[in-house]
Amino acid sequence: MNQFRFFAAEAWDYLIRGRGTSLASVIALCAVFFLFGLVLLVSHNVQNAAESLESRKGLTVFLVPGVGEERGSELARTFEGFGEIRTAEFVHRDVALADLENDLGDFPIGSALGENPLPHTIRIELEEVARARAGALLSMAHELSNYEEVDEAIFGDQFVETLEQNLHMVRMANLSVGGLSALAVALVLLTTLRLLFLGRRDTLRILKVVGATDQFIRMPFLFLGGIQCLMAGALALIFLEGARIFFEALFPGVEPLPVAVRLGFLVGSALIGILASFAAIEPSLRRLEQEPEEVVR
Amino acid sequence: MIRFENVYKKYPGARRSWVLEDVTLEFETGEMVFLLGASGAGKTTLMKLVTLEERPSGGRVLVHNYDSETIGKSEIPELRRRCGVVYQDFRLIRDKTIQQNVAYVLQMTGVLDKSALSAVTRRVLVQVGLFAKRNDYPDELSGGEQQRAAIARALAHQPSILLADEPTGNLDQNMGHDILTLLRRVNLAGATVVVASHDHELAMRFAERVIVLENGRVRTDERIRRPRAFAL
Repeated sequence: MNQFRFFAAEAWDYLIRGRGTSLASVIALCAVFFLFGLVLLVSHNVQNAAESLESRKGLTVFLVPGVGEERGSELARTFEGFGEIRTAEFVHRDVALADLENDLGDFPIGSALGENPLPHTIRIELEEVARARAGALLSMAHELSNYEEVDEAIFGDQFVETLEQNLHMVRMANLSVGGLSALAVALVLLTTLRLLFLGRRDTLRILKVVGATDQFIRMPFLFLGGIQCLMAGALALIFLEGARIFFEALFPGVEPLPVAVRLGFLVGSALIGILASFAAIEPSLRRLEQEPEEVVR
Repeated sequence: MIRFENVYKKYPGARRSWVLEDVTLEFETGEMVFLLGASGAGKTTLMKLVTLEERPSGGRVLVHNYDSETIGKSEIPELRRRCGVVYQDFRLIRDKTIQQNVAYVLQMTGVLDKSALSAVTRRVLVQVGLFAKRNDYPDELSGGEQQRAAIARALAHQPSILLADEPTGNLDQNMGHDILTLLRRVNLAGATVVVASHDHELAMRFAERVIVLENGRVRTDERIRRPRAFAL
């Protein structure tokens, strides 16, 4: 604990002494983390939207006019035997009409048109596994349309399917932006910590000569990288909340990232900082030993 | 304690062939040795070989139980802590006070307890007569005081070997004399003190043994007989 405090204090000292560089570094890191956070936020909200629409994912199979109640029920039982279908419910055209009128606020469609325009239908719900698979509804609709008694198999929630496919893209974008962010963080730290290292090279060389281990020299820089990224991560989260409020004004219902994700974001920022600092410092540390400052007397 | 066995040293890309050539020397425990020689004679290189800041190109250097041929990377900091080093340009950390400079070399070995740090820094700063200026920064001190501070830092680990590379090079005669008196005291307390210098007069006054280097070779190696507490 004492050592932790010592190295943290040293790192803080480095941070304050090189405050110009540190500030520039934190701002650059904050921008990178903010971009990454933004992708996380969008992805989180798209995911939420998709999940809330999950329950609406289903197929409605319209039977050809003339197909009787008995045949309709038989088809429903056949469909239920499919692996990816959880339930297939035969709906009589009168029930379907009543449901529709109910949905439209008891608007009397039947009386208005003089007859029931709806055919018998089968309402189909997919299994969880199939629902999670992009394109499942579309392929099922195609398959069911091959039955001659089936007039049309539609999924009114086609946009859910599109959303799901887009969600996959968002996830990929997340991964890519995450990777790029880590790279950008490494580059920013590589530059700033090397500058700091160069600025303190004489001091570090003295430390080497009087018996400092590599670990002793390295640790404050690792802490410094961690602290800078933690600060940048915290700032990015603040800006992210600002961005969320802005988006919410445009698209009501935009949710903030969950607390666990925000905590993970902070811890992850610090870890990336430490790792990137390690990568930045090692070559400089090796050069410190190799570069002669030779004066032969 | 320190042994050079047929040591050769050459710097990569240097025009000169050998900076040190076939040097065989032994420094005994408790000696006060002066290395004399003109610029380029190889004094600094010889000092750097003791702390393994440089590795010999040929032959080997033995310091305590460390052998330049077999020493591991992780053992080098230990070796350096057993050898205090003082330089002509002091090499103090400018943004730390004198007390912090001394404490820093203890902190690097894991001594972080405040009372332990305070006890050691107090002891060495009193020893070099700088306790009253413990909170000053190096730039606020005179050259002589900075060199005293550097000696205090070198003494923090109670080294058995103290290497001083031109310790009076940046000081006037009186200050130089004071510094060598201080080094002599350290020597009398039991440490082997090796001073690289080009000042023959100072060497004659303080040395028990004088080794003259010329073009990387040992030209003479003489012991000077005198009372143990001379020059104090």
